[in-house]
Amino acid sequence: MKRILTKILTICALPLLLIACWQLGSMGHWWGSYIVPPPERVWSSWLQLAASGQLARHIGASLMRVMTGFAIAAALALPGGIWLGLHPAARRVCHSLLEFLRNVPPLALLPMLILWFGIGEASKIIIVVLATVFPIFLNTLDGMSHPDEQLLEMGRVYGLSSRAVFWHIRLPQALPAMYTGLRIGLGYSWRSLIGAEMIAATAGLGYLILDGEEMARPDIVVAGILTLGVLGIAADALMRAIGQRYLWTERKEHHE
Amino acid sequence: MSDIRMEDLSRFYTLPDGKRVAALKGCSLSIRDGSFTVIVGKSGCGKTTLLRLLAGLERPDEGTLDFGGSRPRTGVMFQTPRLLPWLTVEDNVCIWRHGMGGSAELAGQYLKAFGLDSFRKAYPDQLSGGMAQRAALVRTLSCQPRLLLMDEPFAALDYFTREKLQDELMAQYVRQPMTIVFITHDLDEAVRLGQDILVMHKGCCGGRVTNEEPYPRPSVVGRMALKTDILHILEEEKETPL
Repeated sequence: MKRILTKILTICALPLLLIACWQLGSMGHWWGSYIVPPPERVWSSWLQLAASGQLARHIGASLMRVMTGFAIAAALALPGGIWLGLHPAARRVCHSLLEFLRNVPPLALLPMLILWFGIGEASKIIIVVLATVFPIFLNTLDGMSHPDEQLLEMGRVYGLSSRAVFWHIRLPQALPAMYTGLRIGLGYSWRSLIGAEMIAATAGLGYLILDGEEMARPDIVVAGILTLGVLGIAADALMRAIGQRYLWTERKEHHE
Repeated sequence: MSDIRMEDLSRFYTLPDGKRVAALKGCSLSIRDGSFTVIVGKSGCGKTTLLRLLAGLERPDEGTLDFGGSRPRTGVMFQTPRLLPWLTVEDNVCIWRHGMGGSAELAGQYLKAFGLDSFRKAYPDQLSGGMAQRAALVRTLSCQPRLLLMDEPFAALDYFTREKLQDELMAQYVRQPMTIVFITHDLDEAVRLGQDILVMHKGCCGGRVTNEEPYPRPSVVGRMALKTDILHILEEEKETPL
């Protein structure tokens, strides 16, 4: 019990301290309520949004975009990273193109995406995919490109076929890097929502924030930001739980 | 399986500065079929290179390596256990099944015989260094090799664990017919384990010492005469100009 309480306190201490400072600053009028709305106003706006069902609608729309974009990005990046990781020659051929694409911010492509895919869901999801695909891809590629030579040698000694080496040595060894990529990628998909929902959206947390800005309602903006952050934490917690259940490196940490 | 013969075996490596160095230089020697051969020598004398050539992990640049037919079923044990951290001890020990084929039951029997039965479902990070190396030994033996190559397998272990594993290896050698090539720089280990002790020096085989003492050999018996012979060979080689 004491251990659980300590754990909760460790996790909540800093956010609670920040909220206390925020409250204190608002009460002491260190800043204008328009610049930083007081916590109680943000909380009351959040409750109103939740009670009216608007928040659930926005969360649902954003969640659908994030999950779809993340799934598509993972489906592209994992096999792509694995394949290039296993083929150094192809990796060298693709290097410059990948570096080029990696350095182009997804938002820079927004006008072209609207032109190609219109203002519907497709463009929004593509923005999420573009923001998410590279962390997953590059981590997968990195994990696959640096196998443990000693373990590969052990595999050779016991006559393991290329297929067996892949399934029993290379892939399991790369899984932690792939998992890190997925976690970073998931964070990036949430981050890309604002950009994605700038495209003629009528629902979504990004839309809620942008709408709050246009309506001069910083309390709604902050409520939207906090919701986005909390959902990001929840999604990451889910990923961590999956990792602790199935991943050998996380298992080790878990035991410690 | 017949004797393993090496004739004028050379292996060169190119250093980052482009300089070519010989790890083995015209090395000729033979390893008797069914013998427990220990190769002893200082660091950098070419012992590991010789073992890697025998294991087929590298090819010689010059010379011939003759197994008297096709390469026998070979097991290799390295200085570190090289266990796969994502697999249980049991799955690690059976890894050869995916390459050489064979029965997992056999691995189970070996795990029992080597006192690892209760660690079947443990992961390598949950084992001590000695136990991990023992699991590696079980992996190597359970694939039933005809040729067992061991590269300083007990060098990183403490005295007591090393002695215990040496005992287990000798007992297994008596039970299971195979040729063992064991590399070490430890003279005590060499004279305790080896029947044929080959002394290597600067990439060549400098001499051979034979130990006829039957197995199992107690550890405390001083084999000073043998050690003196080996040291004598090393001293002679030191004085021989290349």
